[in-house]
Amino acid sequence: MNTYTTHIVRGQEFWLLPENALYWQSEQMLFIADLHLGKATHFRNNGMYFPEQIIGAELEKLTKILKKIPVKKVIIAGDLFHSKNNAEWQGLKEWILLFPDTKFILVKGNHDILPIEIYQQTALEVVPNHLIIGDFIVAHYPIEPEENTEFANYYRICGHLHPGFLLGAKMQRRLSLACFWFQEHQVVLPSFGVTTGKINIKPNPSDKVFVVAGEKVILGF
Amino acid sequence: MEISQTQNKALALHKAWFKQRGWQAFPYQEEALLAYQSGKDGLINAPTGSGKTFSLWLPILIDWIVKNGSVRPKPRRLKVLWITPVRALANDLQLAMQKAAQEIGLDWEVGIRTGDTDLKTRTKQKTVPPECLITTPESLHLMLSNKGYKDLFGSLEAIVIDEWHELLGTKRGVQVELALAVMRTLSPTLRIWGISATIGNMAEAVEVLMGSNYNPENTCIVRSEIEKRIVIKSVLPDEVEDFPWGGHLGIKLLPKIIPILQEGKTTLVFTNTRSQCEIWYSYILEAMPELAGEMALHHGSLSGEVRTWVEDNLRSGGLKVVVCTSSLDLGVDFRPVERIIQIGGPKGVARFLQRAGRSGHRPDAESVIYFVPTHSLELIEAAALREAIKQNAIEPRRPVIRAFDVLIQFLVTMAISEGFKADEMLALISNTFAYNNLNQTEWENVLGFITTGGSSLKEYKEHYRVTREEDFYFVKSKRIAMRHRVNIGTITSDVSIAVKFLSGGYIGNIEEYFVSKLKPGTVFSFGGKNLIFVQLKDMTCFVRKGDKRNVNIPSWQGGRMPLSSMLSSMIREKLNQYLDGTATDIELEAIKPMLDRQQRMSLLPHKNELLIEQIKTKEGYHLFFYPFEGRYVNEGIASLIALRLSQQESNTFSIGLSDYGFELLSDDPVNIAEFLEEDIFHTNNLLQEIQEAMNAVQLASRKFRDIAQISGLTFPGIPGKELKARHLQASSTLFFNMFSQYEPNHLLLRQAYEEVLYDQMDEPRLRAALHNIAQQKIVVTYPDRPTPFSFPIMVERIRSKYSNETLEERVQKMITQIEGKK
Repeated sequence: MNTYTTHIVRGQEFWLLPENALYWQSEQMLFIADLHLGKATHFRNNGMYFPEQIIGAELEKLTKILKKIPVKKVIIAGDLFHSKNNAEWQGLKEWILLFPDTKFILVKGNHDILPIEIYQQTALEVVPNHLIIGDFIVAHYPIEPEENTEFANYYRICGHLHPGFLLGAKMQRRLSLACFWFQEHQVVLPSFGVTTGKINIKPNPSDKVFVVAGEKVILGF
Repeated sequence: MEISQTQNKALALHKAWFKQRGWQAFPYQEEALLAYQSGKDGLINAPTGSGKTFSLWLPILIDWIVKNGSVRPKPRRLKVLWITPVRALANDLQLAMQKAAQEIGLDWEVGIRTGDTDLKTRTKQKTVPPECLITTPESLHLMLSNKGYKDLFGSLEAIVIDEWHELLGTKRGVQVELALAVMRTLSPTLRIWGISATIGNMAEAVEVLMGSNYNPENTCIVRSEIEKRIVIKSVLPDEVEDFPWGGHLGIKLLPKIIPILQEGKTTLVFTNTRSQCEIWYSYILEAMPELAGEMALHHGSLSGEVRTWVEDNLRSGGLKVVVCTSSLDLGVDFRPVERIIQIGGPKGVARFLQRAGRSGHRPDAESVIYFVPTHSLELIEAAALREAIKQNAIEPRRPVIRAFDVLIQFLVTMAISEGFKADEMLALISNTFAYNNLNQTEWENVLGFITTGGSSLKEYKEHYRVTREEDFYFVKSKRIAMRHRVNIGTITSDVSIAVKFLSGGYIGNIEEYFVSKLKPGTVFSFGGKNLIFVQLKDMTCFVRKGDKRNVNIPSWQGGRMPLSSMLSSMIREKLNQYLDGTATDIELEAIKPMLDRQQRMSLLPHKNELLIEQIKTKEGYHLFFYPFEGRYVNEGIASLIALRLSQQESNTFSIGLSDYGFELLSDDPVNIAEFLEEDIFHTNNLLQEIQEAMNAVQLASRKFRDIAQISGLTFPGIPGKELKARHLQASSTLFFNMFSQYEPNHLLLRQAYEEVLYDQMDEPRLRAALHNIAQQKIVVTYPDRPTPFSFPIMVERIRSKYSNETLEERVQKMITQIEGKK
């Protein structure tokens, strides 16, 4: 039985996983965004500190999900890799091979700047701007409702913002938690990466915000 | 004392110079001359405006002439470093020092090296150094990051650290300690001299400068015997309200201040916060429109250009009134300043003295400082200050120790320039006061952090900041070196947002926190101008000029200083004197009706009593405690007591605070007498409980911002290359969270918690306060309505909920309610 928090969009049921991933159960598709793999190594290569223990944490998290629930496709809404090529890419390449039955699709984000040959050497499918699946469109950037003209009929699944929601904003003890931000026209996914920060969002009254609090995802707004 | 021939010669030259100027040397200046000449290190303890610059500069020049004659040394080498905390002071210093050198007949050049020095001048300084270089701690460290620093500094005869009291107690002070340690290894005959205003720990101040080389026999403190007469005149309200509350009284006193402003040639008006500064500026201008063009604002958030303009015009006498904050506490002599007005309690004796010293710059002049209370209770502070000055009771400045962020920055600096050997470097560092008890593990952790990024020295295949080859540490990459140099000098910086006109002009900086509350179209007052907020973009707040309706005043969270423990004990002393009938201060006389009412309704506590008041109002059940320990410590005690009370009986409390006491407000009654049967002020388990009570994690995360930047974890970006650097940017919060999860024992993380404990919570003072309470007699009273003491604390608590106007209404209503109950 499903113990996850669910949310229905356009008649479809989505599961909100506390690992910061969105799961479309009927299609067995997993949506994630903003992994920023390679960030730790990129920093270190430039003489800047990053704890090395953190390397590989995202893939570990993803492995756990893939072992728990059936996933045919993992769709990444941009910013899979943080910057230029480094040793962590090799790790990703080898890791993907561990899941021959799962297809990995990257919709490119602003950080995905690797040369095309490098992507081609992996089992990863790369889509430049957006990917349409049924009533849904996956892209990296969120858009304002008034900008939503070209694909107005589609519900957008996107990332880029690394949304956080501030609980107890007026109190002394404030806590910012990663969140799924459902708006009328799109959902902004929390960042899947563990090396990314958060930007606190200011939702509209008609929005729904689910925050990730430890092992649970709860409606926060 | 026998006076040798060289000493005689020196004294003669000294006298002649003063005579030529029509002055006469003070005895302390001659004492300094002889001490310097005999090769001693030391510290000059002299107030601003007493010729402190000359008290060292002349001895240095004269010593050179006596030993080497008046010819310029060849080849030209750097002889003297003059370190000042404020780069704005450098130009004035340079002019005065260059002139003195000429007058005494020594062909020395005095140069400046600060962040404002251009590349051409810097290059010239390398090839043909001036004999004396005036610099800041940051610029000095930048020079240490250049190859050839050993050669440049190897010829130094003396280093002078000006305004040492300002640097001591800060991380920049630690930078000075480290630089001095380097210089000592380069030039063993170096003489090190500090100049400091009076602080409570003079002896320690000297010890920190000298490091472990400290030899009392060869070090002396030269005290200027100049007693600056300081006269405190309180501006008294005609009628003292029995229910004082912060903020509104000051402005009501404006009519009494106008004559003072009109009379004086130039007046400095000191406020405690930048918001107050803005408020007072606009009120004074409204009341005295004739001052337009002759009045200015000065605070730390205004652009450097604006501040320099104000400073220049203060010096030339072009301004009649300047409203300012602690930004004008420091250094420069503004001779035209004749009057000082202090708005609100200055919260510390040292700070007050410094401000008082801004007027009457002639050494024999009397300094008059007008004290304007913002509520009538603050009048006790004026009396307490007078007492403290009489007793010469001045706060100490505690030196910063074991700041690992500064150490890491320094080590990378040394690795960039010439590299270092670990054991030699450890010996050098152990010479400083700040790091003299560093242990081997900590040292290895620090080295590990800069070489592998880990906390150990194990090999790491990808390169990191510093490369290690056997025992030698150096930096290979030019990019790393460049980035590091950008980072030096970024000690202390809040997240601030630049304020700019849409058309482009930069006005100053305000805190992100304030901007986040602005909506487009909101009018706010800043730098004396009314501005309309347009938008926030790229860390810039864009504005247009606005008119005068519904003006908001930016609030700066940082500006609030807690009452020092020195002053708080003086306040208790004064209350005691009042109770014994021995107080003679006019201020206490003025607030007699209020104090008597407190005595009648509840109690005016003796020094050996802790007063607790329990009051019930419509809001709920209030408990007021009066430890008189200053805001920070009161907050610590309040959180601790709230925690302990709620552990025993579930209850939630809102906390109200002032410098004098605190309030715990709850919906349910607390049987305080019963609680007091047990010791709720005990110090067992204090460390853990206080961290829990005050949410140390959040506080530490805030402290970590500075630590991350200083140690080079975060990187502010290279001007003009921002885009490329973006992939290397990460917030300090992210690092804080990653450390907490993956390396909870990391040195830098531990430092953040220690800073919270010592700077923010002031754990030692908190502990002392609790011990003090244990000695006191606890008296609980049950007044039927709020008392003169409790009222201002209640107002502070509700302040944040209301705008200025509605707060005024609300407070009036509260007063009517209390008075109606009579």
